[in-house]
Amino acid sequence: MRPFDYAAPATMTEATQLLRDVAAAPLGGGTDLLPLMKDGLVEPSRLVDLRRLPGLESIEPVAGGLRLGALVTLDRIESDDAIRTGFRLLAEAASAASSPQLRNMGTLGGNLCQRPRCWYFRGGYRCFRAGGDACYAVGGENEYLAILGGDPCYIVHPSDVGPALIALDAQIALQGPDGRRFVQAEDFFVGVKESLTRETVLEPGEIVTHVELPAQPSGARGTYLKAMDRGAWSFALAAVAAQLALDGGIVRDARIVLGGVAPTPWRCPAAEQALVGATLSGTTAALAAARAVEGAQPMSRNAYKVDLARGLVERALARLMPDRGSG
Amino acid sequence: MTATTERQAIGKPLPKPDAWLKATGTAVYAGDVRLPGMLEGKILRSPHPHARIVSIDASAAAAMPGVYAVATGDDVGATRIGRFIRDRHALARERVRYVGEPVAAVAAIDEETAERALQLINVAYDPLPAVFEPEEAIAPDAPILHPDLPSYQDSARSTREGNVRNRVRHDVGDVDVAFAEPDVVVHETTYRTPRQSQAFTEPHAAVAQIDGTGKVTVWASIKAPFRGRVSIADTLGVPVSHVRLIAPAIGGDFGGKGAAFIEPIAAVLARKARRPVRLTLSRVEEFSAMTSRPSAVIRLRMAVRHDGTLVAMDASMVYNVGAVDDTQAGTANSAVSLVGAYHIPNVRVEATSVYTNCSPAGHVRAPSGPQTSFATESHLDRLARMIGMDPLELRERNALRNGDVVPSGHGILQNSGLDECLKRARAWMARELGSKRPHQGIGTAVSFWALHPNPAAVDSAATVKVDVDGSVAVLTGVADQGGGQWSMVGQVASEVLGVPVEQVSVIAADTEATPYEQGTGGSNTTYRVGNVVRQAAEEARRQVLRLAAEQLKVDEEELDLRDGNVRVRSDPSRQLSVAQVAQGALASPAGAIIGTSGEAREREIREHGHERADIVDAPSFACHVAVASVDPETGVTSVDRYYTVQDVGRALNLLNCTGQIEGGVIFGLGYALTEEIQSDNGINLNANLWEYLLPTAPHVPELTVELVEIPSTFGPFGAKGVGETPCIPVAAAVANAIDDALGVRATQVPLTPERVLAAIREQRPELLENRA
Ligand SMILES: Cc1cc2nc3c(=O)[nH]c(=O)nc-3n(C[C@H](O)[C@H](O)[C@H](O)COP(=O)(O)OP(=O)(O)OC[C@H]3O[C@@H](n4cnc5c(N)ncnc54)[C@H](O)[C@@H]3O)c2cc1C
Repeated sequence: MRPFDYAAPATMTEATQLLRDVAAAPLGGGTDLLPLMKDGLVEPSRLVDLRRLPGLESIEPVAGGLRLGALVTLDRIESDDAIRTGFRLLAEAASAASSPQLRNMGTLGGNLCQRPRCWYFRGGYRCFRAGGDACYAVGGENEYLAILGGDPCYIVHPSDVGPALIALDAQIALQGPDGRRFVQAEDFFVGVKESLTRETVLEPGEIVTHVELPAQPSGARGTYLKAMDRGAWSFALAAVAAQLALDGGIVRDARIVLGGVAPTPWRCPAAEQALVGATLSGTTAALAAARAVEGAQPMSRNAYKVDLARGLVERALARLMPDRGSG
Repeated sequence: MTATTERQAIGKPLPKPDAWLKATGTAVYAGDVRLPGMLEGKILRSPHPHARIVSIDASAAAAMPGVYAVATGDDVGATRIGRFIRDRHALARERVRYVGEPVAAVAAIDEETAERALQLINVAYDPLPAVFEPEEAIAPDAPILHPDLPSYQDSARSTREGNVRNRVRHDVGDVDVAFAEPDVVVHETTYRTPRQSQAFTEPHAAVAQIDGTGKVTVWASIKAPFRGRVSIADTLGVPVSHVRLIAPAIGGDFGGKGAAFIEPIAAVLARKARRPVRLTLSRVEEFSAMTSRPSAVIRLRMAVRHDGTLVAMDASMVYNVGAVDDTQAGTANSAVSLVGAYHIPNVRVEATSVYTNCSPAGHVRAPSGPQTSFATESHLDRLARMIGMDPLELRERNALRNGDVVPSGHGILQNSGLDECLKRARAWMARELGSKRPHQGIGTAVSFWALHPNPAAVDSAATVKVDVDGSVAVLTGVADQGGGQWSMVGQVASEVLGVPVEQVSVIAADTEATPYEQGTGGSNTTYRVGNVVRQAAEEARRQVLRLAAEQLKVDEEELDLRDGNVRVRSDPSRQLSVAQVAQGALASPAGAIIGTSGEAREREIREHGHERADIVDAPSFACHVAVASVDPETGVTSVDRYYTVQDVGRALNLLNCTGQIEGGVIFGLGYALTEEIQSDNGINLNANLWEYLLPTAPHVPELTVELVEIPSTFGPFGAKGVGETPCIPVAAAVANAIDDALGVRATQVPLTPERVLAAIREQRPELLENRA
């Protein structure tokens, strides 16, 4: 591992100053960054530890919604009462991520900014994602990779929290050397057409400081479902974040976002359209599920993800039906 | 054998003495050994699956400050090494055959320096065409990995040609006639099984030291020190007696620590550096360059009559053994283990193991067992369904019985616990299993591990010393890889000598200080080593009783030895402690009390030898029942409950026995559901613990373990083997449960959502279409 400096600034000004250096990297829980460094996949010359910055570890109510600091751990998101009652989908997503030990360390910001898990990228291949000029998965072992939005790079975004935030229409607050800005969670992640080597809109030196969850419409209910090879402590083969606003049995609003199937969390507008205005039933759920995976282009070994994602969407919607009593 | 009814130690649920050491962090593993001046070693590994080594320039690395030695293939002897076939060198010479093959090694003052030095070694390769699948490797124009293969030394006769490492045929009766019988139901399927890593907790470690006289001492995580030292001696070109190999605490083996891989490299570095060298592997090295269970493709065809009588089996199976085959003639026992626990009159099995440019194959808990069991036990279930018979009943009907010749032809079955296991499994199912939930299924499978050798044909010995304070020391060559072998040794000695188990110490696994021992494994360690320890302890006991009888002036027959005291049976107030007897011995013409196994062993073998050569005395049978739920929408299988009943002959230690069985089932569940080394062009892709998915605590279902105790005739106190049997049938039991739940048959392990969904799509697409 390359030698590096370590700094733990106590103010945001200091932090942005330290992060101006192109070879500096922000440090959250370190559960992804340190392994990446050990494997020589990233080689920052300086780590800027965000954990001493004030105000980034709090969960506060704002205008019917919640404001979460970027340093809030996944474990807290999973167990926080306000989140569990008002934004259950997010608590479910956090608890589906990794393992208890990792959730104790891993932070909200770090989870959104973690690097992809494609084994060619992580294995040190000179692939597109690593700045090279090939994708080894296309003709190789692609069982875990993208069925949607790939080409030329077929990574899947590894975060469970990301799809949940998009389904909740969250905003992400960023702080950079040139000031603050907000982006919609949906716009935070960038696809392979925009960049082959970055997964987020973060500019050099910019960090995530907060996530804002807006008040949800009345009748809102949501759920997060994830399928894994091993029932815990593994990444999603496919996942779905589904948030609906129901009025009686009628769907007033719907946000369906898939995880584990595309280079970004994958929003499914066609599925949402199939739901909005309709009565939530087995038939509409099946239709929406089919729409969710429309356009999927599986590779040699990952066609199962189409069935899987479809099945998850259908099940999630079934769970949200009023008589099922979940909320 | 002692005929006391109340046991001192045998059968008790005694915690392992080393459990305290491990729990308190005071157990010493090979990697914990520190010697003055010790250097750290690192290995440079091949990036190519197949290449000629044109040249190696290590001058820059050797010149680096802090580097004491750089070793290459030129520093290892020309003699090839290997556990069975000698098909490798400790460091590659001339050619590399797999990604990760050791090419050079460095010893330096610390790991970082060694690591940096590796980067300065310049190896020029001339890449050669490579093959990764057996089908490609046996094609006529395939590149040949081992051109000199026919001349390699092998531990048993083998059929070698081109990339075919071995081919074995097993032929009984007339298969073609049997399949042509008018009224039989025939079923054929091809099964595929993955490469599985042993995935032990402790990566390999070795510390090598060479003293001024050239004497080599190596501490290593190796469970067969007497075997391992041969590879070190051959690599260094010295007689075996110049190598002392010591195996301290081992953090798991599961078959992967039976042969020397890194130990000879550490020794070569120590010799060149003239300093002790420590070499420890990373988890990535373990997964990418060390041995794993060979993958198999098994085409199986069987015929059954409508009344459930199995009449024929015809199969061919191909093992991918990678570039180095560290398995016992690859397939020698596969051909017969495919037949399993059944009497099948007509059998034709051809098993072929093939070299490819993948990472090496080696032993993993129950070599060949899980592969063959998955095929046969899956197949039996399907056959049962086809003839409308209960799957357990089909098994009962065809089960081997005492007096049958076992499929291996090794001998006549005796002391079989199979019937009892089947009976208990049926009773458990009737008693414990209510109605099935939707998408829940029940699968059964039988396990048979028969490879208990004729005790005369294996090498073990033991020495037992009684100390002046009445404590006992046992010297044995056996290594404890975590399976509890040392606590077994202590218990056996304690039992025979009537001294509390806390007063028995075990000095073990040191090729210089302890008697010869072939090595832990094959589930026969207790059967074999337990016996020689018993024999040595009995010899010491005779000496104790003789000396006590002299002092107490009674006949030996009148004495009782228990709890560390010798008492006159008719008058217990007349007694001597074992300590007093041992002290007395020093002043007597006999001298110190030392028992050895040799004479008793010879006597027993001569007495029963002929009889033993053609019987299977300690067959290990088990019956497993898996209750699993399958989600037809996601293909996710979860095992809800798991039951196993196993005949252990005699549970010498209840805790250890059930622990082995529970661990074995969990090992099998990993194989069944998640574990698979995946590779691309010979590079292992999931070479880490986040992608190679081992079962963890939440994935262990409610587990019920029942023991049956039908004693073996010749094992110590009736013991049979325990450790491998429980991991064998798990994948089949789970696949059978999936079939029971959904009516689909998945034929490839692990049974991932991907494969279960594919099976649903192919066999019952309506499950995917009519949902919600
Ligand atoms: C074995 C394993 C399994 C896992 N399984 C899952 C899973 O199933 N689902 C899932 O969602 N996650 C999973 N993870 C990821 C885990 O949840 C993340 O490692 C964790 O959330 C990252 O958080 P961290 O705070 O430790 O990030 P760090 O390691 O500190 O940082 C990760 C990256 O984000 C950057 N970063 C950190 N904080 C900020 C910030 N505030 N602003 C900008 N950049 C920042 C860092 O520079 C680095 O590049 C798994 C991880 C492991 C090791």
